[in-house]
Amino acid sequence: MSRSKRVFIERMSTEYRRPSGPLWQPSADIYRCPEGWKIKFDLAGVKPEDVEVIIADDKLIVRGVRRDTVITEGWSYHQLEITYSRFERVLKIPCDFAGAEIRCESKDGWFILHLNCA
Amino acid sequence: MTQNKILELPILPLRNTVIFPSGITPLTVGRSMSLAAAEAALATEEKLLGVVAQREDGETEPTPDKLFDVGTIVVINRMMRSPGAEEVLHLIVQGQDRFRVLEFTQQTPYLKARVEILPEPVREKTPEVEALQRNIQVLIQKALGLLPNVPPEIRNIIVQADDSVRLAYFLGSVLDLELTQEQALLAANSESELLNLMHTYLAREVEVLEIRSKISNQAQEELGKAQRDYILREQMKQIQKELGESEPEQAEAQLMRERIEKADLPEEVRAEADRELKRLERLPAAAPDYHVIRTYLEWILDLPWKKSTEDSLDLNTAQSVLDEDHYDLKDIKQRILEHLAVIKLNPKTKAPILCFVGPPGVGKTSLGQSIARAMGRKFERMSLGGMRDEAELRGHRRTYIGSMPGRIIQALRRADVNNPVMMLDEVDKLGMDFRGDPASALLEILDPAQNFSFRDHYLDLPFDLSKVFFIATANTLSPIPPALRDRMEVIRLSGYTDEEKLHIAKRYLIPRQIKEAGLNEEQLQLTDEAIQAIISKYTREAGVRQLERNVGSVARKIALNVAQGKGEVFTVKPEDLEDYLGHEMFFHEMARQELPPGVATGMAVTEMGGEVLFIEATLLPGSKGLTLTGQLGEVMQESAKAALSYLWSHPNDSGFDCATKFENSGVHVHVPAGATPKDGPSAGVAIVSALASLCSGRPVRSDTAMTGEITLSGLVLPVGGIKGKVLAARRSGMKRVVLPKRNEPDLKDIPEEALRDLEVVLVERIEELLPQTLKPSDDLTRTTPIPSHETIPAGAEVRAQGESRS
Repeated sequence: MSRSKRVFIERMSTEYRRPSGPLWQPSADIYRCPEGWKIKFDLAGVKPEDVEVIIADDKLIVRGVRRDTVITEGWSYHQLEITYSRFERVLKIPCDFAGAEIRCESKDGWFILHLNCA
Repeated sequence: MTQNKILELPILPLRNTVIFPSGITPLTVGRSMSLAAAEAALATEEKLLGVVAQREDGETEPTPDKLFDVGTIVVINRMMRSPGAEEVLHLIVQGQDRFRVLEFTQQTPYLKARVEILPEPVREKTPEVEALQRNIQVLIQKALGLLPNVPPEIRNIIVQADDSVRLAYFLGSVLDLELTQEQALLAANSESELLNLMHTYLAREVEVLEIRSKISNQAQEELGKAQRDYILREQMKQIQKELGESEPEQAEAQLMRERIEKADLPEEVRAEADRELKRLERLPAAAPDYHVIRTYLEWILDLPWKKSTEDSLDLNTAQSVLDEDHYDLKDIKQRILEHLAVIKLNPKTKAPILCFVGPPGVGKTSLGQSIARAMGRKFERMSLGGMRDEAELRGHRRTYIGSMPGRIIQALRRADVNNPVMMLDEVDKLGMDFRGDPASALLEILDPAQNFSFRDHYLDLPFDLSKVFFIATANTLSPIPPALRDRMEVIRLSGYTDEEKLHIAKRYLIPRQIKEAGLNEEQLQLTDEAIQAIISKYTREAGVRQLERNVGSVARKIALNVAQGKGEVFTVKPEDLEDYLGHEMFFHEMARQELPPGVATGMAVTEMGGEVLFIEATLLPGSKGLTLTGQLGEVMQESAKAALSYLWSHPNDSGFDCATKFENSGVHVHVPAGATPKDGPSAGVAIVSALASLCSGRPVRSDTAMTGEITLSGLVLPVGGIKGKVLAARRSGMKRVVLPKRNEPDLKDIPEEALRDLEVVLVERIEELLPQTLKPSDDLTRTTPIPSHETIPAGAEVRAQGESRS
C-alpha cells in the first residue's frame, strides 16, 4: 500500500483558478461509508505527487498530470491509446469540507480519497 | 499553473485547419517533417505537440515564416499507424492551450520552437460582452431554425453551453469559416474581441442561410404547385379510365392525325399541319392553346386545297342557260362564252376578274348566279357593302382571341371547292377609314399575279385563289380606288329601255310573279299596254325591281279576286291599273306644247336612266351679270358662263345682237327642278339655245331636245349617256334630238325601234346648232305661259353626264 507523498489541499473561498484548456477526465467511483465518503479515481500511471486535490466551496477538484514514464530513448510508438498529460475532475459531494479530514491513498493504480465528515 | 509558461515543443504545421482549445480533431500526418514532429511529441512524457496553421496551403515543407505565430498545444490522445501504407500516422488530438511562438529553435528534421503559453481569454462581465452573448444566442437559434439537419449532439452542446468562450471555439470549428477568420478567432486575447468576431461571422452565416432557405422555399413552392397540378391531372385521367372514357385529348389528336393522313394537302400545308398536331398532342385539353390549335387544324382540313369542280364546257348549253336567265346583255354573255372557249383550249388559264357596273336592279347579282350555273361551278356571294375592316377579308392573326379566317377563306370553305364563282357585291360601297382599308386587301385578292398564293392572316398559309372566278359588282365606278378598278375587267350594264323591260317582264317577271301568287298563266293576262303603263307610270328605275314588285302586287290582287270567286280569268288593261296599283306615281317631264323665248329642252342622265329637263332664261333689265339658280354644279355654271360669253362675243355667228341686250340687262338662268342638284357640261347646247332664243325673241322648237358641251370658240363637244338621253327624249314625246356630231357612234347602241320615231340632228358647231333649235323668225306666234309641274323627284341627283365622254 503506497501513500501519496504530497497532497495539496487548497481551500479557496470563492474562485478557483481554472486550468487553461480542457483536459481529460479520469473516471471516478464514489462510495458512501460510515466514516463519510470514499472516492476512487482511475488514475493508473499517475504519480501521487503529480495529483492535486482542491476544495473550492462545495466542489472537490482533482487534477494533475499523467506522464509516460515507460518510453525510453530509441523506442517508437506503434499505437497510442492511453491519454497522457493534464487531467481534471470536478465532483460535488454533499459534505461539509470545513470540518472534514481528507486523506489520499494510491493503491494498485487507483487513487483513493478518504473523506471523513459527519 | 501554466500561465505564461515557456515551453519548447515540436511544431506540426497544419494545412487549412485551425485547432481550437478543447477541440478534438483527427489528423492524418504524412509529410516527413510532420511525421518527425509527431514522433518527437510521442516520445515525450506528456505527448504534447504544438500545431500552427500555415499561411499558404500549398507549401509542403513550410519554413517558420510561412506559419502563423499563434497556435494550439494539443495532446495526442490516440495514435495509429496506417496498416498498409508506411509512414502515415493517424492521430486524434485534443486542443489544450493557445501559444505564441517566441522563436524556432530547430528546423530539421522537424520544427521545434520555444513557445509562450497564452492564457485563456479573460472572462469579462461588461454589458458589451453580455449583449454580444445574447445576440450570439439569438443568432444561434436562428441558424438552428434554418438548419433542420443538425445532429442532436451538436444541438445539445450548443444550446447547453454555459461558457461563451468555449462556445465560440466550438462554433469556430463547426462553422464553415475561412482560415484567416479561424486564425483570428484563435488569436483573440479577450472575450469581447472573440465574441465580436464570432458575432460577425455568425451574422453573416445566418444571412447566407436565410437566403438559401428562401431560394429553396421558392423552388419548393413552384415545384409543389406543378406537382399538385400533375397529380390532379393524373387522378382525373384515372377517373376517366375507370369510367371507361378514353383520354379525350389523345383520342382527338388521333382523329386529327387520321384526318390529316387522309386529306390531300399541299406539301407546305401538310408540314404546318403536322407541326401543329405535334403541339396539340403535347398539350392537355385544359390548356388555352389547345382549342386554338384544334380549331386551326380543323380549318386547314376543311379547306378545299385541291378540290375543284369540273367546268361544263359545252358552249351551247352555257348559252342556253344564260339566255334562260337573262334577256339581252349580249356583251356579258359573249364574254362568258369566250372564257369558256379559252378554258376548253387552255385548261390552265386563269379565271377572269369581272366587274359589273350598272344601276340597281339590272340583274348583276343574278347574272353571277347564272354564270356559275352555265359553267357548272359553285356560286358564293358576299356583300362588301359597308365593310371597313381589312381583317374581315383577310382574317385576324391567330394570336387574337376569337380570331377567324377572313370572308374569302370562309366562302371557300362553304363552297368546298377552290374554283367557285365568287361574287363580291357592292364593291363600290367598301368603307375606308383609319380602322382599315379593305379595298387595299382586295388588291391582292383580285390580282392574278399575286392571288395564287393568297395568305390569310389566320391560316398564314398560301391558298391558290387563281382558279376562283371573281365577279365584283358596283353601281358606280367612281368610288372604287383606281388601283382596284384597274385589276378588273369592267363590264357596264346600262339601264334597260322600256322595250327591254317589256320583254323582261313578259319573259321572266310575270311568269315568276304569277307562280308566286299561286295563279296560272290563263288566270292572269297583262296586255302589253298595261305592262308599258306600269313601266312608265308606276316605276322609275333603270332596273326592273319596282316593275316586278308592281307586277307582283297586281298578281296578288288578282289572286284575291280568284279566291273570292269573283271570276276565273282576268285580263289587265291599262285602265284597270288604277284599281290595282292606285294613282299613277310618276310623271315624266313631258314635252311642252309651246315654249316661250328663253326656254330650251335639254337631256340628262341619272342613275335611274335618262331624263329631259328644261333650261329657262330671262332678261333682268337694269341689273348686271349672270344669275344661276337650280342647284347647278360648278361645271354647269361655267358652262352657262361660256354660253353667255360665246353669244356676246359672236354677234355675227348667231345673227342677232345679243351684246346690246346683255350690256343693258342682267341674265337669270334657272334649271328646274330647283331642289335637284345638277352638274356636268352636257347642258351647254341647251343653255346656248335658251340664251340665243332670249335675245332673238325666237322660241326654241318645242319638239327638239338637245345635249352637248360647248366651247367658247363655238365647238360642240361629245358627251356621254347618249342612249339613256335619247330614250328619255323619245319617252317624253320629242320628235327631234340634237346631238354632237362626234357622238354619232353611240347611236348604234340605241334600239332601232327607238330611232325610228326620232329625227337625229348631228351638229359640230354652234352656228349649225342654232338654226336647228330656234324657230324661224317669221314664225313668231306668242305662246302660252310655261306649265310648271316638275316631276323629277327631289333628291334624285340629275347629272348631265359629261365625265364619261368617250
